[in-house]
Amino acid sequence: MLMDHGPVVIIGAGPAGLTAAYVLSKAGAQSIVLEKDQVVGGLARTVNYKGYYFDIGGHRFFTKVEAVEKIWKEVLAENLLRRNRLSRIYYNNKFFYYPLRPLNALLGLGVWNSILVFFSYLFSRLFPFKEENNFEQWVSNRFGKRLFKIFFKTYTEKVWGLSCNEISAEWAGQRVKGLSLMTALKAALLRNQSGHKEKKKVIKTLIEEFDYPKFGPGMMWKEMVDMIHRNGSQVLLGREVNGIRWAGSKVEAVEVRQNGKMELLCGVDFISSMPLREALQKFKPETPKEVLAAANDLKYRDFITVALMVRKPMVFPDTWIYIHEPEVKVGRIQNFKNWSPFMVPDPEKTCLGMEYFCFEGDSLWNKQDDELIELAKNELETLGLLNKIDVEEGTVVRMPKAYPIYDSTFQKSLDTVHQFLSRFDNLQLVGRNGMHKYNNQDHSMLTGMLAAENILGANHDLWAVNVEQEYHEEMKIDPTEEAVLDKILPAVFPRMDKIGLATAVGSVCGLLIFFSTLWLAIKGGPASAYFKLLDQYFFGYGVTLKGAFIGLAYGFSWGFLFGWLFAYLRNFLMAYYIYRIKREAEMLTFRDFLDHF
Amino acid sequence: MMPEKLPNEEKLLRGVFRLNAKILGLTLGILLGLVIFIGTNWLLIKGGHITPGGKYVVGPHLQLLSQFFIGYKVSFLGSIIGFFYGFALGTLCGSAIGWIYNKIVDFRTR
Repeated sequence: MLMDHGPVVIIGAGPAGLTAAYVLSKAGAQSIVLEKDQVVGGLARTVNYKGYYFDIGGHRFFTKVEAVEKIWKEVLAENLLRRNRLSRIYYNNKFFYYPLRPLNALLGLGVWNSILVFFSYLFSRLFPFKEENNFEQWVSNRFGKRLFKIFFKTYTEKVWGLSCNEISAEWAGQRVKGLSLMTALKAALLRNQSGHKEKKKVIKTLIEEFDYPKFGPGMMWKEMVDMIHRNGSQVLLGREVNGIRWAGSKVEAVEVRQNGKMELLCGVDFISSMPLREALQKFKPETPKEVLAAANDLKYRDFITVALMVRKPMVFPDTWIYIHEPEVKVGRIQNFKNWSPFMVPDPEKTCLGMEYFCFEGDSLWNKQDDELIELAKNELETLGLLNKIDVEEGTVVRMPKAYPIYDSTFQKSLDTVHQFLSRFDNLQLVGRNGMHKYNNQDHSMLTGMLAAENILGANHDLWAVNVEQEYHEEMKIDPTEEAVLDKILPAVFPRMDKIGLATAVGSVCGLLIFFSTLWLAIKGGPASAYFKLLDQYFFGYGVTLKGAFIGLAYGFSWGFLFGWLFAYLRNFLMAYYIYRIKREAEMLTFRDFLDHF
Repeated sequence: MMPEKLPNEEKLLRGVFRLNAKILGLTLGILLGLVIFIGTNWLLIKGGHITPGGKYVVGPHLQLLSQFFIGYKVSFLGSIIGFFYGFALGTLCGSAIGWIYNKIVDFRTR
């Protein structure tokens, strides 16, 4: 049945492309995966250098997407190890736990510095930047300027190659923008329920531990490729797509180059994980000028890993370290042996991955491999982590387009490109670079999986899969509870009308005094003397008809004041409660901010 | 009235809180009823005093409520009667506050 569909052409053998082919092959649909490089895995590949295995950046197998986890377990079975996570920030020759732990941060920074951090935080709360135009202002307003400088500034600038006051605040907001006030409120209201406490515990454990294949993610891709081949589909390496031919609402074929020879590959359905900018440049005929200009506006940050083989069984216990020291260029150091002990051929040796963020063609990118290895060795020594004579040898891997850049214009450009591509009913974009989106490995795989399911008849929106989903998962609420809260919250939390309540309370108070006084004035009795005491506060009041009207006016005035103040205070406290919940949710989503780069 | 088509978050941020007049009335009614019931019985438990005229008096000030609540007195039966009076008055006042508040909100958000 599915063979009638014709082969599905998949561009790129990274996590998304391979997952799409894997899902299709399991369903009996044929596909051809075209990979430009000689290795599979894309950004999540594992390099094997003389028996030392290392990743291009570490790839935790940590997901809240059940379908992805199922594939990991299916493909890797007992080769998936459970590992403890220890990742710290290295700053001023000291280690700080990440996510930050208050006591550790206090001890690491010292008493004086901690006091300054506290006052800086206090200052930022009292006198925040009125406008949050850039990343520096955004973080400073939330953590204080001093903490921003210590824990966010240097690393962020190393990752993006831009000063923090040049990075838009929207970019930081991207991490939390998907979090609606309603979600935060619902989560806060349900947080104390026992089931949610249990869930929170599970999430905490998941963050402190992760799964990892015995020999790195590369072994999973290799296994997947074998399964794809066994099911009759193909993964072709060294095939660069040079042109994407289209007409009307269809992509018709791709031009593939191998060893200088060009061939045309037709297909019914196409999935592309090729960097979006590159893909649009390869459309034949050319895309409209504004679309091409938008595609060309999409930028990427590139990445170099210098793997150093060290003659020591243990250098540090962390799986990776964030380097916040401004004196060195290295941004992060991976300790692959701590990811899996099988990543090194000799237990007496260690393999460190010195990670440099750069732009393709800049001075760092253009350095000779020997120079980069020397730089990495020197920086390890500068940091005081290792003596350079302990380094046995090294190798360099350059990874272009490792991170899509979210600059101030990317969203507009992406929308233009997206709008153009939406005309194609047989082309789907998947993966991090394919969608120009911060998809981690699991979300990239999910896009591939959903794209394959779409070809098989489903109707998923791949653009709805995003990195924020991970955080939303943490706040996932039972649908029945959610439906009830959706109905209740908008009725409970809105502001109270001050004038409305003031008038209502004033009227009732005034009328109570009016009728009570009138009743006593008509009937008489011992209570009159006590009612008369009201004139101590209500000048001119008496238990008479005139007094009843005066009492009405006084009662209304005092009731009005009381009602107004009550509504004002209620609104103020409710707004503060909502603000706190929103802030807490922001902090929660910002907790593992550094982990995503 | 809030337009029905507004998304929930918009309703929450831009909407105006409505009072449920019936519930507010019942709450105030029960509260006021209980205040009178407990207040009366508290005085009964605490006991009264003998006046120079040799009369045993309990809660002469609370007894003044009988000026408004006909049939009420500081006794156990009076506390039950007082509860109903308090309940009725509280319900009336609470419902009135809720009703007037909602009418004003309707008027101001029209």
